[in-house]
Amino acid sequence: MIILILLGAGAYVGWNIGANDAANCVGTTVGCGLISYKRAVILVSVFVIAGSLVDGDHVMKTIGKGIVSQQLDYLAIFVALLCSGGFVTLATFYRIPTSTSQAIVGGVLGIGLATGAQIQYSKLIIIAESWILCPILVMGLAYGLYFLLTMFIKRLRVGTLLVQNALGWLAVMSACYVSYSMGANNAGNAVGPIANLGIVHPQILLGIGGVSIAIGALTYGKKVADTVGKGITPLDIPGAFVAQMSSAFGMHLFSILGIPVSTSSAIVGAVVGVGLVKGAKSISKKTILTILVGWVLTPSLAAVTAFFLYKFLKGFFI
Amino acid sequence: MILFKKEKEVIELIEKHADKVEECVSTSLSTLQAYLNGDIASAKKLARETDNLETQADLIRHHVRDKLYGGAYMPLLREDVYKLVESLDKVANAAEKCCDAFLNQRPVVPEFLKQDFLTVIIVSTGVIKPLKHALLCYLKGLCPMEVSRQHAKDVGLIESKVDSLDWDLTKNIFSSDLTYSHKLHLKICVEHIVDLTDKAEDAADCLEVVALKAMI
Repeated sequence: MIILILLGAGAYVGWNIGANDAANCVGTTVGCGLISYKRAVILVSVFVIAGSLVDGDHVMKTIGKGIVSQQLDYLAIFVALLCSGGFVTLATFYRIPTSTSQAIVGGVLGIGLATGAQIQYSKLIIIAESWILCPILVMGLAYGLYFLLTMFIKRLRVGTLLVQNALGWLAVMSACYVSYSMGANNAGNAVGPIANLGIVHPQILLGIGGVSIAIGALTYGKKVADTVGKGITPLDIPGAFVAQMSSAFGMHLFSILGIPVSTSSAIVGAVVGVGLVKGAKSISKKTILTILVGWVLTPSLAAVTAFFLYKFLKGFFI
Repeated sequence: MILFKKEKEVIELIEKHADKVEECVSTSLSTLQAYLNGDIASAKKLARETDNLETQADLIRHHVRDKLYGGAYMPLLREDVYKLVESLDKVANAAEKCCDAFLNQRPVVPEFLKQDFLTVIIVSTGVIKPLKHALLCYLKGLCPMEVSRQHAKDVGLIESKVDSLDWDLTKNIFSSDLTYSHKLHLKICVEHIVDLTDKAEDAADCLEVVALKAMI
């Protein structure tokens, strides 16, 4: 019964990830009008599940026993999942593309401190550094790729219409890659704390994580999509392709390294990179600032809430 | 190359459509020249040919529409492509209507106005050349996008010239000793000629918007 409740809590976090982050995968593609949101989320769902099953185990290990190396109790895992899920729900409601990775890492850290477990601070520092490094890396990649692509297209002597069409398809394919990378990086966030117990088979956990993310994308993902696609900087077709390709590559790289990074930060970094080539004026600074505030607040609040909620519940019920 | 086969077929069809529209406009020029020279028999024959060419252009447009909405191009581009073809088709429609107006209503063009009419007709129908160049530049990448946009701008310049000629001709018509009904009738015919350039300018504007969207 307790396992079922924990799996439910993990699925709830997964649902939140899908609701908040599906927009990151397809926001730019939908935003520039290449495909309908309905078709886009179906693609997201398929590739998220594939990514979580094939490449999701690296991050799951980090969340499971990478930050807090010893086994936690059921209540601690439940509180970690509840707090991180709750913050992402709030962010989704207010249409802020926040980071579920930061929320879950914050939640696990808060629980680790509350239970007095040994915290792997070196790992934690690497993760926190990656949160800064990932968007910068992706921004640079997007800047370079967009610059090269525009140079290449200008030299092409093929009909513009065909080039636009080809780029459109590439943008859709890159959206699939982002979805794959998101599944690889974020399914572990949803079910990683449960993996700490070592009771359920990792592939089953990743399957639950992937499917719940897909359900989140299908049921509640549209709200944030508008912010990512149009709110930061309006993108053209090559811009959408480059933004998605760069962020997907960045996330995939960090997934293989087992570091949970923010899908939101990756895509926002990529969109900013594209925006810089077009001229900084096209970037909406207000939207970027709102997202940055969300990034700082999410892990901190998740950690503090998890810490106090665990202390309260432990003292009250046990 | 198998890649984008449907899309390439659409481009071929648009090229064919542009050829038909050009032919239709050229034939309308011959029709109106024959009419003004008093060769009504030839004018009638040429007008029928203009009608026929317009119908052929229409059929190709339908074919393009079927191909587009049968899955060629992404939805975002599909609408732009069809709007472009539709706007080009309206040039052929205008050419046909112009011939029909002359052959059906048989306006009597006085000798002292014939040269002015001929000038407006020649300049107006000449708009099809830069329009077609702009279109082919865009579709086939035969020239840089800036050149395509320059051709589209040339269409606008011709339209301005036709407007000026229209102004002078209208003034000449209304300052003549013709009856008021005769003047009005001639003015209606002038408007038909001018409409062809207006429609060409609309098509060029549509092309410029599509080209601008593709520029990065």
